[in-house]
This record gives sequence, C-alpha cells and structure tokens, in this order.
Amino acid sequence: MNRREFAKLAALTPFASILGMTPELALSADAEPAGTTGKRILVLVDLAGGNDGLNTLIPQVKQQKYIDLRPTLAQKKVIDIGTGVAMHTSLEPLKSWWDKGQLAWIQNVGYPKPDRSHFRSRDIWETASSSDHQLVDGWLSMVLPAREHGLHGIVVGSGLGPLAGKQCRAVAMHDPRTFVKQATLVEQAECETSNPSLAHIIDVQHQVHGASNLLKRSIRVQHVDRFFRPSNFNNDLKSVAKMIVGGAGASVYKVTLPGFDTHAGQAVTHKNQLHYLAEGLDSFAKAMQNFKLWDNVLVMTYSEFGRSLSENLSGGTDHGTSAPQLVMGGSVKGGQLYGDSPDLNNLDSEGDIQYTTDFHSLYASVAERWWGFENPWPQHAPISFV
Amino acid sequence: MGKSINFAEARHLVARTGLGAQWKYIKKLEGRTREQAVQIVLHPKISNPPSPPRMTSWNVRMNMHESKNPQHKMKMHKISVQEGRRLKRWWIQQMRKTPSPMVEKMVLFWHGHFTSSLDKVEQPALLYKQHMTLRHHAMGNYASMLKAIARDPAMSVYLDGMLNEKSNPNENFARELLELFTLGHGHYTEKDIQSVAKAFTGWSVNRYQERFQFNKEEHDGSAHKLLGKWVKDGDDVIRVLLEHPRTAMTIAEKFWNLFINDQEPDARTVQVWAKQFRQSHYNIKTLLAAVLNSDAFWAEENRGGLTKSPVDLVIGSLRTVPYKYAKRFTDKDVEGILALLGQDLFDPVNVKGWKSGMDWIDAETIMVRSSMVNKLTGDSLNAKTNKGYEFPDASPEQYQQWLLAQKPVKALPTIPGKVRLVRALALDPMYQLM
Repeated sequence: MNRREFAKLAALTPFASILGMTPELALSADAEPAGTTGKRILVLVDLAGGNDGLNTLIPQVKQQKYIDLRPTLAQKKVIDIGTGVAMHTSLEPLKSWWDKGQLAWIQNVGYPKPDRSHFRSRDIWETASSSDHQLVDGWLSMVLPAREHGLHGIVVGSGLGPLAGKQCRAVAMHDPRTFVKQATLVEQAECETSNPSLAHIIDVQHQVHGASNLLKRSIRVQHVDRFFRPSNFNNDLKSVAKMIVGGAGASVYKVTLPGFDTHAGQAVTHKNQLHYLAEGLDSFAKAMQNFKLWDNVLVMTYSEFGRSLSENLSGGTDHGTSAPQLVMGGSVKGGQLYGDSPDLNNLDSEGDIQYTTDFHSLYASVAERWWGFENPWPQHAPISFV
Repeated sequence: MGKSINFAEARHLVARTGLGAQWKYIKKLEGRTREQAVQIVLHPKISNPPSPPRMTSWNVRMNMHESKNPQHKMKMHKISVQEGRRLKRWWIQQMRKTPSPMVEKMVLFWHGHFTSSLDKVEQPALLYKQHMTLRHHAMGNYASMLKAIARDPAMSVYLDGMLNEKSNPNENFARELLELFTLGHGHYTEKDIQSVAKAFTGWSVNRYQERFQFNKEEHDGSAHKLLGKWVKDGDDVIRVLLEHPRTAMTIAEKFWNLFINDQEPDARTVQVWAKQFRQSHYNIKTLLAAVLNSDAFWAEENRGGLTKSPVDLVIGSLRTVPYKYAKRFTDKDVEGILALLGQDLFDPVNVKGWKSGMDWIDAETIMVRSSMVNKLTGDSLNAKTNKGYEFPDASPEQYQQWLLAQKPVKALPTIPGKVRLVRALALDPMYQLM
C-alpha cells in the first residue's frame, strides 16, 4: 500500500485521528479511477413495491392458466427470446444486451414460507435472513467488511438496506452534488476520547467527509450526461455512472425504481415502470461500455416479492411470492435463463407460484464468483451467471 | 440528607428524564438533594394530551375494504395514511408542549418495547387506543401493562394474535412475548414458544367494538409445559413469566440503555435494580427511583455517554433552545425529520422497536441531524436585537453546561454573542449526546 492509498483509506477508517493523521492530510488524497484499478463493482437495482415477475418474464401464450387468471393483464404481445418465456414489450431496449450475451435472467427467485408484508419481506431479502429469523445487518455486511478495505457502498436514495450494519462503510445520498454540499454542514473534529458514543460520532463524521472527498471529482465528470435522457431513475443511474467513472471507489452502488406496488390499474403503470427500467439500464450499460468499465460492472435487480398470479378486481395484482431477477454486465454469461420457470400447476395455499431458486444463491454468486470471496451461505450454491 | 446538586447535575437529571434541557426545569432542581430532585421528577404534573384527531372505525374501514368498488379500497388506504399522519402530529404536539416531558419519554419507550406499527395494523384508531393504554401504565405497574397489552387489539393485529387458533396456532405473539417483553433471547426453548402459542389460542379481537374478545371455540384449553410449569391459558403464561427473574432483568437492562449509557449494562447494578423491581411487584416508579438514585446514573463518566434519540434531539432542541426559529418548525416538519432520522412515531422499523444508542448515528442521519440543528440555530449571527429570543442571563461557561453534557470537542467562538455561542454549542459533536 503506498502512502496515497493509505491516506485515502484512513479517511474512511475508524479513528483516523488516532493514526496520527490530520484530516487535511487524510482527505487530500485523490482517488484512483475505478477503471484503472479494475475493481469489480456491483450495481443493485431495487424494484420497490414488489415487481410483477409474471408480467416481466412472461409464460408463453400456451399457458392457459396465466391467461385465465389474468383476464385483462395477460400479455399477448411479447418479445420472444426463444426460451419458453418471453419479455414484456417495454423491455425492448434490453433485447440487444440479451442477444449479445450480456444479460441473463434468473427465474422464479424467492425463499421458503414467503412473507407478504412489504417491510418484512424486504428485510428478509436485504438481510439475507429467512421467514423465521430476523437479522439486522444487510447481506453485504457479511461479504465486504472482512475483505474489502475501501468504501463499501453508496446508496442513491435513502436507507442503507443491504449495506446496513456497523461493519459496512456505506453512505446514502440523494445525489452526490447535494451530499457534498450537505457534508459541509457536518462538523469535523479531532479528539481522543474514551467515550465510545462520541468516538462513533466523530468516526461517522469522518466517513461523511471521506466519502464527500471521494465524490468531489465525480461531480465534475461531464461526459456521462449525454447517455441519459431525463427521468428520475435515469438521473440516479447517471449519478452512479459518474461516481464509477469519477473513481468514487465503492464496491456497491444501489439505486431504486419505486412504483411496482400495482394493486390497481396495473397495465399502464407496470408498462411504464418496465420502460423506465429498460431505458435506464440500456443507457447505463452504454455509458459503462464507452468508458471501458462494462466488464467490471455487474448489475442485479431485486424486489421484495413478486405479485399474485390472479388479477384482482381493480385491474391490478396483490402481494405475491417469487419473481425473476436480471443480471447484466460485460462479464455476465448472458443470453440464457438460469433456474426453473414457475410451475403454474403447483401453487401454494394462497394460489401463488412457489419459488425454485433461493435468493441466497444470487448473493452467493456475487460473493464467490464475482468478487472471489468466501460464500457466507454455504448451504446455497452459487449460480454460474458470472 | 444527601448533598445538594449543582447546575450541571440538575441539567443531567432534566436531560435524561425529559425532552431537552429546559432552563427553568434545571433551575427548579438546582440546589436540592438528589433524593428530592428525583422525587420531583418521578411525580410529574398530570398533563392530558389534547383530544385526538378523528379516526375512522375498524368496522367502517372493513366495509370499505371489502367493497366490490375498487375506488373504495383506494380511498380507504388514503384515509388511513392521512389519519395516521394526524395521529403522529397529535403526539408531536403533546411532546412539544407538555410540562411533564418524562411521561412522554416513558410512553415513547414503551411504544418501542411493545411495538405495533401503523404500517402493519393500518388502523390509526387501534394505535391510538394502544397509545392510551401505554400512557395509562407508563409510570405505573409493568405487570398490569403486560396484561393489558396481551389483550390489546393493535397488538393482536400486529403480532397475529387474532390468527392464533386451536386448529392452526400462530407463534408470532408467543415468540415476542418471551423474547422481547419478558425473558429475553436465550432463556426459553422453541417448545416453550409452542406452549405459549397454544395457551393464547382464541385470544382475539372484536372488530365491531374494537376490543379484546375470547373465542372459546378457538381456544386449545389443554395444559402445556412452560419453563417446567403447567399453563392452560394466557393469564397462566403471564403469571409464570412474571414469576421468572429474567422478566425484571430484561426491563432493568433496557433502562440502563435508556438512562445510563450506550454500553452493555453493568451486570451487578442491573441485578440490584431488577431485584427491587420484582420485589415491588413491578412498580415502574420503584425501578425508576433505583435507577435515578444509583451511583451509575450520577457518575461523571456517564455524562454524554448516551446518544440522543431523534425525539431527544429534535423535540428536545425545540423545547430547549429559545429561538424564534423553533416556531418555524411545524409539527409536520418534525414528523418528517423524525422519520428521516429513523424514529417514525407509531411506525417502529421492526418488531424490536426503534434503534437505540450508537445505532442512531450513521452517515445519512448525521447529515440530517446537522442540517436540522443548523437550520434551527441559523439566524444571523450578528443580530443586533435580541427580539424573539429568550436567552437566559448567564455566563458562557454556564451556557456550555446548559447545552452540553460534557466539554465541547471544538473550540468555541472568540467573538462574543449569545446567538453565536448557542449555535457553536449546538453544532458541536457533543450536542448529539446527553
């Protein structure tokens, strides 16, 4: 580790002051651009509200049950990807990535005894727990802190979610520019104290300033803008692209596309949501490709649950169980499906589909196959999508 | 008689037992003995909250919810969100204005202990009812509160008690009763949970009257073993749990982190408190008196050892700092800031309640905390007139003792001026602690 790297890390490490470093010194270091260090990055896309997986990756029209149970929502016009399932027409911008072999679907992802509460099911996914057990820290806190010494994650949005936990060095922000501005309001103090509560505050303040410093260059990155048309989701992805290009140095970035809780009038809403998703990811992928960073990036979606197989009386769907998730990136072994399709003839007591791939397997793949770390969930084998 | 307490000690007692550190309360306690001061704190004026906002009854809600007209369902959801927010602001208003902040502090604590959330229950009227139950028992008797909570409609919805039936026992309430309300994790077996669940079968809710209802035909009725004793129904369970020494320990341990510091409780001290608590048949004031008269409470090294909760920080600051800006923070603003800081009232993050201690502070919340304090104290630093302020007439040293639990971390401004001084003190990292 050279002096510059050390200084960069010290800004984010607890008790930087005790290491005999002044904040000016700790924060003066310029970050290395991610592209030159070849750091492998995970971009999590949170489809908040519960994405209707059955209308994202659609059972082929032969599935009479799907048509019967969804009188107005069953998709007749689809994008055939030649696999027995088809993509929603709104996902058109993603078709070329599938064809290039850089996008894959993992089918029917869920967990045993699915919980249909937004909060609880989200907690289960984000902490990698189960229906029967509550955990507090996010799943990435089981993967990154022991092995990764830099900044672990940046959430664009609010709530650390999968990056929560004392061991994770992660920050949430609405956008880097505001973050850097707000960080100036946070005091920065040096003191040696035996009071652990005070030490923690000072430590977090250092984290804020450390992250802010790493972000300053990202704000100035201009040439990313042209890839993104204006929309909220595109703006968040643009921020992520700028941070990656600008060398903010985090291992994980997380963005959220809300609006998937489609209890009523789903046809239009869901179509729009999937369009935002596809357009955003297409732009993001092109930007990454342009900066030759695409091979170092893995995009992965998640959502707290899928939706009910049956359409309700309001032209919507209610909280359900499992759903497909997509992975994308220059290193993804794409153009294919992983895991089994849901069996519409083997439903649970609520009449919903039963998961066939446990979400822990996706996390195991990220830990072991993407980052080369030990799999913290040995009972769940990784999937070879990357 | 013990020796009399000084300004800093009076400030410590006020800040730890109230919301903020109001000058007049500190002055009221300064110069008394510890025992006298604690007695005053433990016998707050009765301050009834204003009448609650109007809330739709469960029955009306259910009819709309089950309506074939999808518009009704949507409307119902909207109404419950609106009514829930009004309920939050109703409590915020009470916390801002009450002359008895200790009551509110305890009610807030019990809401985090006996959690239920608007998010899951979706019935502001039931949460209000639960709130009034917790308010009634807040500084009363824990055994009575526990019995009331086991019959509380909001709790029954939140922890699925109403789904707990003979043919299909639901363990949700049973598990939390043992883990969170009484014994604590590791002091019972899975078999104990199953016994408790069966004993509580049939404890349900009458949705028309919004009250507890015992459904005999759904009650198991046979005897099951809990901690080596036979129990048949919910009241047997509660009796066995109250006989077990762990129950008092669980509460005493939580009080350590509420009143003493953010660290692991000192085992010997909490054992002494728990013993007194149990011997008093769970009189909460007995436990509070034990805590507030303890050496640990008054120890110099524990000052500033407790991270302010969002309510302590936000509402405490608005009550403490005599800025005209305080009035510019509406109850709606406060509701929003508390939610951003992770203490959304009536909506704890999970069954374990809100966070506590050092967990309150992360990169996201420290920025919100800093901006809040910044906005509150962000008046012109060189304001010539003191109009709109009610600054106590005291020395800078006393201002420091008033607003901070320990010495500031940063150097104080050298330019004189109370506005500048208060701002510097409030922006110091030490201000986040109490």
